[in-house]
Amino acid sequence: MKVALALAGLVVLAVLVGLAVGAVPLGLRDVVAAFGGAGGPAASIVRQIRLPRVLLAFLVGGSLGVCGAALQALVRNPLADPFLLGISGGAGLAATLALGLGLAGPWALPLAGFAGGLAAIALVYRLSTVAGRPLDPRVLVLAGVVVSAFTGALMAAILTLSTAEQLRNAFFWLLGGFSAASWTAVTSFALYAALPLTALVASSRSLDLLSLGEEPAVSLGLDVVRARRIVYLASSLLTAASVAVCGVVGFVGLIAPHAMRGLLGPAHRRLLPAVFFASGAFLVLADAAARSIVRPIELPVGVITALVGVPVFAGLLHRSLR
Amino acid sequence: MILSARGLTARYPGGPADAITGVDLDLAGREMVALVGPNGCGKTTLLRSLLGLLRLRSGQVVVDHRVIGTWSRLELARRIALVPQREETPFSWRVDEMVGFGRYVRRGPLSPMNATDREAIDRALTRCDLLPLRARRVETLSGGEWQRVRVARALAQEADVLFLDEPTASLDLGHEMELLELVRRLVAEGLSALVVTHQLNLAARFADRMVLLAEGRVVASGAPAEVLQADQVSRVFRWPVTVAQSPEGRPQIVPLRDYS
Repeated sequence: MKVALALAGLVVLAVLVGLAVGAVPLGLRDVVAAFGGAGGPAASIVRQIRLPRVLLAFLVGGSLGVCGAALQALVRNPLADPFLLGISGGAGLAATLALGLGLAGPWALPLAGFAGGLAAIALVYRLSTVAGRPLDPRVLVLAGVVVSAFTGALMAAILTLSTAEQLRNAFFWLLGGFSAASWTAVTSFALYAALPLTALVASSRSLDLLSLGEEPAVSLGLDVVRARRIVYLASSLLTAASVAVCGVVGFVGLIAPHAMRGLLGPAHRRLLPAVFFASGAFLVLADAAARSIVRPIELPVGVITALVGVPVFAGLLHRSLR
Repeated sequence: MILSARGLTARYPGGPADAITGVDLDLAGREMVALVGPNGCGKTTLLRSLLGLLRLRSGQVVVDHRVIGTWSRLELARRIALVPQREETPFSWRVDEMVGFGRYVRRGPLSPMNATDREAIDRALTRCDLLPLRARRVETLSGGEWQRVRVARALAQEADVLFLDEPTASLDLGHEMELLELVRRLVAEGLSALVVTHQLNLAARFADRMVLLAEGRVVASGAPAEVLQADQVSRVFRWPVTVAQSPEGRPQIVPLRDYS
């Protein structure tokens, strides 16, 4: 209960900060007035630019957190990250290809990234089946590493042949950010994410059992192959969409699951909802920092999450190993 | 007969030869059967086959007159509970949460724990002497305590059959006896137990029947006195032995020293 209240407070705080800071800093009064239906430039900044951006960051952050927590149970390693399984590599390669081919338009990069992510998901799944039964966690991690290495090599080759302008664009796209956020992006992502998020939360019990290992899970009544398939597909599809929306934002899928497990214990029924709100708030705050630290230049949000994430993560790791 | 296996032959994917060959095994109600044999004789393979975890090359396992392949995992888990030999989890579960996993087979996927579940967990914790440890994290337990947690979890499943894979492997003398006395009491109350172990003497003292496995085949099966014959045990374990007696008149194997 205390944790729920603290999380609610954190979410409200993050949203207010996210709406107030940016290229044009606004006061709390402007933010509140914008919701009261006030006119003027401040209100339209809040409603048309900042609100969709904050909501998108929140949804993507929450999704990446839930994906991280689910994958950590699937591969039975609390250090697993949503990008462990090659999705970022596939998406990055496809986006780089799109840039290299000169594809234009606001949807070119997101769609290419999403398609690349899907291709990586299929490839990793296929590779993980080589050992007999699909999605054995050990094989899955290896398949992810292999696909990442392969796509990384191809991407390096393409970037070497690209112009400086293309190189810069690819670089920024990969580092991630929410500057392209719009109400369309918010609605499409929310509609898309609803199903995999529901599937993962409904798999809470499977995730508990998967974390015990195959033999205990089976003897406790779990259809392990089916459970793994659902968790892998739901979390991968969600991660691929996140990459399409904002590039590769690291550490979001690691920090909140780790912190929430420390507060609430590992049972996924309580863990996943808490992780969703904590991760969402974290990414909103990180995006706010990215927009305001060297105003008016915007830092890639992945830079912020890594700068905050690495020390926090090291601290958590230290505490958990003590 | 609750469980009946006929002609089981199985091989691990990519394995050079069959790990078990033509194994027959029966388990009746209120019976404790010990599956014994040297290291690598196929005990664990047989156990996995009996649980339908390994694709058989031939033979079949029948539980309650139904071939095992037609059981769903959930149905089977309500009938047979397994106490795995080793288990590691990356997360810091509390003892009562870990035991509570046994209740997953008894309630719907989305329903929360109810009073019946909590009573079953308390009962299982009490039987395994774990009440004082219920709020501890499993990674802080000793090997023996962790073993008792896995037994308690299997008890919380309220299945009629218990499979125990090397249950005494990490237990000292006191806990070893305590655990097997507990299994014996559960059998007296109506459960059936299949215990995989390489400890012949404990098996002989507690089991109703023994099945001796060597190189993937059943070499002998029956009452402990029939199975634990000196020449047979010497041959299977490749070491000279003699047979003594336990206080309750069960055969006890004494390996001979090599004075040559």
